[in-house]
Amino acid sequence: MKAISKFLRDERAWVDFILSRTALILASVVVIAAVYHFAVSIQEVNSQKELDLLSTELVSYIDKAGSSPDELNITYDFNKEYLPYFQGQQLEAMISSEYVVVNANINGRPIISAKTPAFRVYPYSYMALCNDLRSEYGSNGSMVEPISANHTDIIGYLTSRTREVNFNTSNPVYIQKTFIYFTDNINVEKIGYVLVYQ
Amino acid sequence: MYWFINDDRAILEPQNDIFATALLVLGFVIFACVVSKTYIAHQDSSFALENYEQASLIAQGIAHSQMLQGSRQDLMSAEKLDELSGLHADPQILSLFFDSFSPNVNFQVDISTEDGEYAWQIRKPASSFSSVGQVAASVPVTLELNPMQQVPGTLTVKLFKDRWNS
Repeated sequence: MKAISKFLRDERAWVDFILSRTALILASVVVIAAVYHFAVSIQEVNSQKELDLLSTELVSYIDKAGSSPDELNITYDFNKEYLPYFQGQQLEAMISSEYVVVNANINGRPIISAKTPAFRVYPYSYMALCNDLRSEYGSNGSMVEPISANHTDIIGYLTSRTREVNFNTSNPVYIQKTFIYFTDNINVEKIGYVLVYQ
Repeated sequence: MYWFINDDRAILEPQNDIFATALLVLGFVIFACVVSKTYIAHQDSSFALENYEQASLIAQGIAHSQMLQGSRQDLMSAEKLDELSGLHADPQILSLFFDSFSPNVNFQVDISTEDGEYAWQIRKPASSFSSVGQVAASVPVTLELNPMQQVPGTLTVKLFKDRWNS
């Protein structure tokens, strides 16, 4: 009872001092942590943006070839020189019939950028396409050897044949617009494909 | 104000540092809000820019497509557009038209003459377009209404995209 009375009459205000300083230290820690986290997030966003730039550029080349009304060949090089976050880093590119994926590891953290091309992609060379079509339909789908099948069958077959293909980002990528010709024994139609290979 | 400045009781004096910290936190929160707003605006514009290019390339691809070609390579046939648009579109031709594109890309094509007299809309059958972002790109085309009449028009591709699939 005496101790409580002494405590209540104590006017040195040391509790006030300790509480306010503790609050101040805590607030400073929170602010410093927030600033640090903010800086780290900005860095992550920037590296993600750089990777997005690379995948968008590749998709844009694929779409450019796909939009061409004629057969077309484009060679694409991964330009890592203007990407400061990825200097000396190993980049991996994977292309399937539906996605273009570029990924990298920055300080042990994986960063992935995936984009969708607008046109149909077959990630193999023209020779591989011809061989695949010939083994399934008996003709290679060229103008002189049109395939006797429905276009949905051809697309379904090529989609089932397609796996995710790894591309070496140090070597050039060849992008080729080609057409697969098919016939119903009356008319000859064609469907465009973009071949992407190394 | 005069009263406040000449008040010598120093009631606020011991808590000066707390007010200063509160102001600093408030300033940081405002700064973070401004930066995040700017980032969102930048994201929106880069989303539009990236997808505009894709929409524009699809539009160019369709404008030069042999499926819609008229009597000359630079003409777009109204007769072929009739087969592809509206409720009575031929499902076989429509399927061949959209199968040239990736199944992950959802878009519709609007074609109209410059005077607005004729308009066609080509849509993927059974598509919902429940996406967040929409980007459109147009290219000028010449429409062949009949062998004697060719009129200028516009082909617009409206691309529907989910944010995660940008």
